[in-house]
Order: sequence, then C-alpha cells, then structure tokens
Amino acid sequence: MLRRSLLLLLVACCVSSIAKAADPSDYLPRRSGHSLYAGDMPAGVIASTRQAMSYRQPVQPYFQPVRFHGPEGVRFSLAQYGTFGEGESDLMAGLMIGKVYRFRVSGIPRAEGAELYPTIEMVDRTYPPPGLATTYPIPVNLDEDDILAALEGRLVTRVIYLEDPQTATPLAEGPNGPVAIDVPEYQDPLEIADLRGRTVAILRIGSLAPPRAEVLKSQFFFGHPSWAPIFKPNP
Amino acid sequence: MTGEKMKRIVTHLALTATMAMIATGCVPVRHNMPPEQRMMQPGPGVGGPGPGVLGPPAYNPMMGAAAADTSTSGLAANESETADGKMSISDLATGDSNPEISLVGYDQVEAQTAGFRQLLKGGAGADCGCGGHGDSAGCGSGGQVIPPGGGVMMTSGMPGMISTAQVTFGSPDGMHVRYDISGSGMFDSEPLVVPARQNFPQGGLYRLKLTNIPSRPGVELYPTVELAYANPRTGAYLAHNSVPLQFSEEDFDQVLTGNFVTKVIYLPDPEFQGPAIAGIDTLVSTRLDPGIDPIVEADRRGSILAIIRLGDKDIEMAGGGMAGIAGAGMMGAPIAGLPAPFAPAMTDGCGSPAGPGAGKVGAPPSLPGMVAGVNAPQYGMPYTGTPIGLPGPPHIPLGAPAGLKSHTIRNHTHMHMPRPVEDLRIDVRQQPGMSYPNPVSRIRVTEQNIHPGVPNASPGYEHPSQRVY
Repeated sequence: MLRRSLLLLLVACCVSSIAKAADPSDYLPRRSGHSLYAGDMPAGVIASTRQAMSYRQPVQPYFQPVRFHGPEGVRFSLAQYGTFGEGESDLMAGLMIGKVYRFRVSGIPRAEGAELYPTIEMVDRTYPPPGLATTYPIPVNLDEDDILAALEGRLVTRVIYLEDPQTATPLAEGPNGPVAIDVPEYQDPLEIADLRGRTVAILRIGSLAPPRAEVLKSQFFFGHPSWAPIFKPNP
Repeated sequence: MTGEKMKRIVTHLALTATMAMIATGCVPVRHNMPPEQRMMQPGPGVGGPGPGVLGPPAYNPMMGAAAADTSTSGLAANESETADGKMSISDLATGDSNPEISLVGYDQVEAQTAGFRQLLKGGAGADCGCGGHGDSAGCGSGGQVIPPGGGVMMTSGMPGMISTAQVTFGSPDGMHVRYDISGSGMFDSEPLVVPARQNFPQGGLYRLKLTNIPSRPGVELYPTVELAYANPRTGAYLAHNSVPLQFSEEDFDQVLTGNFVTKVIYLPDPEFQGPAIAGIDTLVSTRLDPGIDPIVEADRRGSILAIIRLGDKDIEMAGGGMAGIAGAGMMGAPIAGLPAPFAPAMTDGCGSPAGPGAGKVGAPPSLPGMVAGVNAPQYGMPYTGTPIGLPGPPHIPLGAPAGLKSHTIRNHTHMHMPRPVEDLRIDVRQQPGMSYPNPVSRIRVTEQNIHPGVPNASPGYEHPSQRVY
C-alpha cells in the first residue's frame, strides 16, 4: 500500500514537472539582442538603409512638408547651392525622404552672432488626407535648452516620431506642437521612439561650423539634396 | 630470462604503439604559425616582411602626381613610374614588375599608402578607404557607403571625398597656433588666434606651433595632434561637432618642468557616460595614476577622437634636421588651404592605410627621400635585391666597380601549406533548447453581468413613458 502510494506520488511529481515547462524568456536576458539602428549612427545611415530595405522599390520621391520652429527671434534657413538665405522664423519646406539636410539657425537669443548648423534626416513620411499635406507638416521644434546644449559643444539628438494611436501617451501639446521628451544619456532615443511609434525624422544639433574650403562643402551639405519651398498664403 | 622477456614485450609494445600512431595519423603535429600580425595579411608572405628587410622608406613628399620629381634612386624611380600610371599597384604587389628589386609589401610606399593616395586622387581605386557599415558596398558606389567623415552621401556617392574633423582651439585665449601647409616643420599657416577653428583631414598626425601663450612670454611649444578616423560610433559626432583642444596652465607647467603630457579626447561609450556628463571627455596623462596609459584607458572607455602630445622639444632649433624643408617627409597636402599631416595616425580606424605601414613609421618622418645609411644602404654597400625581400650579396671586393652579375638563392624552408577548405560543415546546437508552452486549443468565455446593463444606454430608462389618463 505504501509502495503504491509512493509510486503514485512519484508519477504525480513527474507529471507536474513536465506540465510546468520553462518559459523561454527565462533563458533570455531582459534586453535581448542588438537593435539594427542606434540613435548615434552617422547622419543618413538610418534613412538610407530604410529606403534600401523598403518594400516599395524604387522608392517614390516625396517632398515631406516640415515646419521648423524655435524660440522667439530664431530664424531658420535651408541651404541652396551651399549658401543660406535670410532665414524665416517659421520656415516650412518640403524635404525629400531619405536625405539629410543641413540648415542654419541664427538669431539665437542671448547669444548674439552665434549660428548653429543642425541636420535633419528624413527617415519616413506621413500620410495626411489628400490635399492637406501642408496643413499637417512634421513639426521640428528647437528648444532653448537644445540650442544652449549645442552651443556648449554637446551633440543633441532629437528623434521625431508619429505616435501609435493605440498606445499614445496623453500629453498636452505645447504652443508650437508636441513637447519633447528628454531621455537619459545612456538610453537610445531612437529605440524609445520606435517603441512609442514610427520614426519620421531625426534632428541632430551640434556646434560644427561650415568649412571654408570649397571641396569640403559638398560633404558638409550631404550632397546638396533638393528641397521644395512652401510659401504661406498671404493673409 | 624473465626480465629479458619483459624488456622484449615492452619494446614490442612501444613499436606497435608507434606503428599505430603512424598508421592512424595520430602523430602530434606542432604547427609553426607566422606571427599574428602577418596572419592578418591577405596571403602568406604577401604583406609581411622577411628577416633582414630594409625598413620602410620615409613617406614620399607630395605624394600623388608630384612623386616623380623627387626620384633619384632606383627605388624612387620605380615609385614615380607607378605614380605615372605605368604600373598598377597589383603588379607591384605580385612582385613581377621589377625583377631586380622586388618591392613586395613592406618596402612599398605605394602599397602602404594606396588608400590615402587613391582618396587624394579622387578615383575609386584599390583601397576603398572606409567601407563604413559594409565592405560589400565597395568604393564610391553610393548607396550606404559611409565616408570616414561620418557624413553619408546617399545618392551622389562622391569618390575621393576628403573627410575632415573640425578642431576648436579653446584655451588659453589669445594664443597663436600655426600648422604646416607646404612642408613639415614649416609652420607656414596664418596664425590662428585662440579661440579659433580649423578643419584637419582625419587620420593624420599634425605638428602645431604654439606661440604668444598668455602669462608665458617667449615660450614656444610644438605639440602634435593625432586625429583618428571616424567610425560609426563617432561619425555622427564629428559630422555635427568640433573636437575641442584645450591647453591648461597645468599642462604648460608640466611641460616646462620637463614632463611629457598626453591628452586623449574621446567619446565615451554609453555605459561610461553618466547622466551629468554629456558629450566628450578628456584624459590627461599627468592626472592619471602612474602606469595607466591614457590612450589604452580612453580606448577602453569609448572611441578616441584626438590625441595631443605635448613636450618641450624645440622643433625649429638649428641642426635639428626637422625644419625648413618644403614638402619633406610629409604625407602631402591633400587640399590647398588645409593642414598637411606629416605622418598617418597610428590609431585604428576604418580608412586608415591598412597594411604593414599602418602605425609603423620607423624612419624619421621628415628625411628628404633616400639618405645613405639611414633609410638606404650605406654608401659603397651592396644594393642587390632578391625576389623574396632579402638583401643580396655584396659586390666583392668592396670599393671596386660592381662586378656581380648573378647570384642564386635556394629556399630550403620547410613548408606545409594546406589546401583550402572546399566544404565546411557547421553543426549548431543551442542549449538549453527551445521549449514553448502549448498553444491555446480551447477557450471558454463566460460573461456574467451582476447588474443588468442599461438597455441601449438610453437615459432615463427607469422612467418609462406612462399612460396618461
């Protein structure tokens, strides 16, 4: 009797151990794998790689409307054949997907004469309703903190993403569009943006000055990609 | 009798074991592999030097099209032919272009600096410079080739683009900085008054001259700045930011008391980047514990951008042999108006002149071409070459006219070069294996409302219309 009950107990133990199969995630580290893209990659890598891996081949050229906005007094101008124009405080232009554009930021408050030359890497486009593309441009906001950090010699990377409507965080918008979320230095902004939605553009602000030598200008301007000016209707 | 039998048995056993080992091939084989540095070359003996080979000659002044006008010796004449395009680098590398003096590998300025020169010439050549994220992309093929500058040309894909790093001289204010433009030790640039910026081609070693140092009248210092090539980690930084070079009072104090200061500017990896410290960091040799190499430490913590070496040596002192020679011992000015390096950078990085010449500039860097007894044989000594890179026999008697017409060298080196592998089988087993929970095969849904819901969510359902009498 005792032997039979022991046998039963043993069988029950075996069955329970089989039924409790290990979860595969137990063997995996918490953050497994290495992401293909990282936010600190050279400008243009992510956009061109995504273009090359796109299922739409060849990729249709598309001028994505982008609106630049910054603190009061700051003017933006995009390069045309290596030279910058006067600049507008509320610049809107159509930028091609997959290209990197160098633009100039001038009129920085409390830093007279200082100019910054950030880049914007166009990774993906938005799909607004037909005819309303210029009504819903990608907003590119430069905070004063970003500008100050860049003037101190730091590299500021801002990843602009389109929120997933299912998981969007209910955050109040600022006066110039969505507010920026700061991430710590040891976190990858691109990874967080990809978690929250779809990355459309990457803004990198540094303190590099344009080169004086002509031969270096093409590299500085990433090959002078073309862009389409968008004129605002006169009120 | 018994002992003799035992001895015989043991002998037989030993013989049998030896025969079995020979028959089964179980003889322990000791492989004598070449050193690791030579194993990284494309083939056995292709890039590596043999014993007794002459050291690499100094870097040719004004490399590129101007290489022809400095050639006087046979070696230099050979180089000029190459520069004129009569022979290709691959011809040289195989060693059959010149049967008398075979310049294979180590002796070749051409092969060593091919990448840099091709970059200067603006043609897509044998060396791609930096392939960035993929070697398969090839040279100048557009697409996703990341030039060493970090900027990415996506469609235009300009071959021969020079990648530069912008350097900001931040402190002390008012100091004058000069650099070489036309020759090593010339310091013929317009003086930069600190704070100032200047673009330097990446992957070069630059000599600077610091004058007008505040609070140190009359002191002139000659530091060198080594700029590393950009890599995928530093590319974004170098495309948007400048590398700040700063000299502090402490540095000058250390140098003027006879110490040697090494400053390494690096971009820390994320794990070494605290939330408070952003951007780049600098390691100074005088502030580290003794025995800690700042370059090794910086390389461990992140990616090196620049290395400054500061001592009190006077480069322009008469008799120093370093100054005043236009174009001497330089890598050549790639672009007019840009600083000219006098040697390639020794730091690793894509785009570096990969090969035996990288980081092994043995001869003094500013010697004008061939100097007997320094980077060429002593006057009167033989200069017969051999196809395997060994120096040939002398013309005996010494001092008499050269009379040797032929010599024979026999190679008795034991060689075992195995055949290349044709089929490779890889067995993969992951442990622990995969074990997934059983998929769902049956679902039961029971919905129970404790409180009956509002029908159609119509308000006031509990007050239905009532009959009016």
